[in-house]
Amino acid sequence: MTNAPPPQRSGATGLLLVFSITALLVGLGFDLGAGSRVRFWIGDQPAAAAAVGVAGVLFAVLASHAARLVLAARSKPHQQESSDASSHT
Amino acid sequence: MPALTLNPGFVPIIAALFILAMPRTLRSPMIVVTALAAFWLLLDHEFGAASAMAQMGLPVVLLNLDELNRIFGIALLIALIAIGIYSGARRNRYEDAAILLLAGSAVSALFVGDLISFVAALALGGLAAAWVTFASPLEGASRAGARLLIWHGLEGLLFLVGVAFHLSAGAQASVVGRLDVTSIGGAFIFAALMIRVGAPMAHVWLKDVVSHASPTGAAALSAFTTMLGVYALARLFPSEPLLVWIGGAMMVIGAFYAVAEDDLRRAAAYGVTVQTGICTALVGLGTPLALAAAEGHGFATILSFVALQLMLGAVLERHGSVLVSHLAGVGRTMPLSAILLLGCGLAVAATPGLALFASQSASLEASAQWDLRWLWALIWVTPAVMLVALLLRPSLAAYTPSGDVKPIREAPFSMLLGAGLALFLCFAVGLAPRWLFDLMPAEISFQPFVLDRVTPQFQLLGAAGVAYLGLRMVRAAPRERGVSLLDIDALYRGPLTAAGRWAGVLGLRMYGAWQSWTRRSSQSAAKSLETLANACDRPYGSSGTAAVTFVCLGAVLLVMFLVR
Repeated sequence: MTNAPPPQRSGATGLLLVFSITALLVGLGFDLGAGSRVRFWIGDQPAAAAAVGVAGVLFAVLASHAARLVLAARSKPHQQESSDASSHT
Repeated sequence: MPALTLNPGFVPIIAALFILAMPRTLRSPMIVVTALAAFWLLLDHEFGAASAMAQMGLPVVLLNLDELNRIFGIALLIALIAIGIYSGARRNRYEDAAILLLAGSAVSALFVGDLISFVAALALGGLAAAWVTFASPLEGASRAGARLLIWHGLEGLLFLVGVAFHLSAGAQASVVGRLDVTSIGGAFIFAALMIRVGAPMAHVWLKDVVSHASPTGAAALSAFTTMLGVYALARLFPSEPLLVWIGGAMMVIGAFYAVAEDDLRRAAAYGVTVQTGICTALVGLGTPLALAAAEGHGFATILSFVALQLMLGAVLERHGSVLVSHLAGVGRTMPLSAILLLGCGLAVAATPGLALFASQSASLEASAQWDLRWLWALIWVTPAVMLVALLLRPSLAAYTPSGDVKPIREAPFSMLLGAGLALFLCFAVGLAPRWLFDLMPAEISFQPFVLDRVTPQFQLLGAAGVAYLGLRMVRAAPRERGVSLLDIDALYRGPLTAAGRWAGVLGLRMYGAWQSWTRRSSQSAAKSLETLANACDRPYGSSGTAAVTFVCLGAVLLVMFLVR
């Protein structure tokens, strides 16, 4: 039995990772060091913005899985109008 | 000398007629010049209403300028300039005219001062939006245009009925003030505006037409449709508590689909639904800061999403597809477009320094109320979701090697210029948001560029980026593959259509059976009468028939005798 090959890594992964880590460190640094944070409800806790960002990503990933599991249309060869709407090759 | 009272929106409408006869080289400059002329008219006028004219006994005010409609007008005309530059790359005079008509009707609707003219401008805009869709060369565009006509027809009908009830209750058409949603006229108008902004259940028309429109048409539809609804809500239903819940639902539904859609133009349309939801909820809050934030957010949304749609259109034009699953290699074949796409992704993710960040900060500030913590949290988390849906997914896909070597084939220059201009304006407003806040009706002393707002936003976006990239590395994030998601429109395009077709077939069969039965009955009755008539001709042909004939005659005579 052979495993499927891993998907090709995008060339932008490293760049986006560097951007994200820099932004996170800047935000966390000012948050923990200077106490600059949103002054309301959970926003007043240390690293709350990071937690909210991670929560947003978890929502995105779970919603994506759920939508593809439940709402993915079964495409028929002669009924691909919707899926092909934004492609004209 | 009488003051010039030309509504700025009439300029694009008049130009739409002339542009049909213009050569290709003049059409793009004509759109830009038209937008600039309308801009000049807008900025040249003093605030206030023009004198009312009487039409069929109703007062019609064709120009009423104030701070509320000025900020939306500026945003729409800036969008028209960018779209005008962008449109120089292709040859479609009908779409050029349709876009001008759409922009003109939207701007006219902003500046008219009575409900009747507003409904007329809205209806013209609906027709123009359908025309933009019909003018698209993409497959399925004509069906999408027909569906849009139905949505806008329903909206216009509801609006017209609402205005009729409103006027019959003794209200003045030229006095456009706050309406009561519990009155019958107000309820109809409210329902019409829910279609316009894309409230839950009616949110599907925007993604439907945007994904079927041409690259230029999609940007025009994204800019000139839903935000008009936000303006009307701010004008007619400020502080309506129902709007808070509707706006919240729009944000959740839009975010749910935006992160999962494979078609990026459709995902961007859902992104517009999310941002329109924020504006709707803020209008529902109704405080001066919330209303100002709604208007600012509408302005920034128009600019950011026009830039994104223009850039996605450029990729569609050259690459042939904007499905995330088909984007591999775009970073190599369209390097400049890919970088601009990245910039547009940053713009819609409310990155500090871009327009949406300033308005999103104001929105967050306005919604910071203890009893509406959920709304505040939803607004706060939105940039993270937009980052994943419209920046990380497309960027990662575009820079994935495709395997085959292709030459560099950039988008046409005018497309890059139009999209670049829109993106530049996002940066300009984002870096110097003071002039945007100065345009707002309420005096705002709000400063978005303070450490307490900028660094939490960096923290949020950075954490979201690290988390998503980490989840992709461990393959917890879903793989990009061609998928078409069902939405509420699948109900009326699928089961409801099938049920309608089935009911039609059943009705036709019942009608056929009824016709067949009546034909058979009449034939047998005619045959019986014929037999009887023949028998009357030959009364002594057979003994039984003669008896029946005499009995019938006797009965008739008896009845005549008794009746007399």
